[in-house]
Amino acid sequence: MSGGDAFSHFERHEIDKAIRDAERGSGRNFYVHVGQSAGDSRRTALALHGSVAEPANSILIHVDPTERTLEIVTGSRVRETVDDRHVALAGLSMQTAFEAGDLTRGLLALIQQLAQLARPVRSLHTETP
Amino acid sequence: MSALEALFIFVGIPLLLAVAITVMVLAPSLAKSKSPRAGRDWHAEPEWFGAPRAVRAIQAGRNSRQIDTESGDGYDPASAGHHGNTVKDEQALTVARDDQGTRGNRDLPAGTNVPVRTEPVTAGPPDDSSRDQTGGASVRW
Repeated sequence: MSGGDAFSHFERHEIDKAIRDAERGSGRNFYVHVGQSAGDSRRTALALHGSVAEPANSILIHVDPTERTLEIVTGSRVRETVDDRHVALAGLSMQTAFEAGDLTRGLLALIQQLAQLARPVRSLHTETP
Repeated sequence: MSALEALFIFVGIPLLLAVAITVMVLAPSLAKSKSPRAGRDWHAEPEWFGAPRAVRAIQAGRNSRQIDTESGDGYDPASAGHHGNTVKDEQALTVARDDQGTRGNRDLPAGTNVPVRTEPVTAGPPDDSSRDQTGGASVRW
């Protein structure tokens, strides 16, 4: 691992795999950005979310290690099924790992939790006679 | 059994095993300590996961300017909604067919040229419509 890299090759692979699994399970697009915000972290996260291909169906996680902030942005279609309070709870649960300096473990758990939340709800009563 | 053999079996081998176990236990933490720690001394390059296949071509290489929401370099409002940014680029954007969702111009056919606004989009906090479109949460640790 070269100096200055936030993640090792193995950690990158793990995060990529978690994103793939999350997208396969939930049908949503997941993006993770780790880096400094330009000014306000929420605005930066919103700008990053707007820059992806299909923002309405996307979930973006922006981690600013400098400011120690975590921003989660959900698109409009995601928001129809994923409540913001649940997203906040998922984010809070990652605090322990982040406080310990283990960004990878926190991100992996967060992605998995968000994937669970974003999973489409199957109705058992769609074919009523 | 000579004295040398006895020394190797009863001292050398246990010593080698102890060293091997110590290395295996300490190796992960030693490797991790090279990673920068979160905080003011963070010096790592920004990292994207999941983005290379999705970030639009017109925005390639412009992320650093697009996410600059404070300095005035701004980003594309057509792609990101209006979040209180200044847009300076006068370059026309091509609306991709799959670019639908929270962004504007969703009814335009693919290939339509859309001029980017050159005046400040908004000043201050994001407007109510953008809040309605996106959700999420902010957490500090």
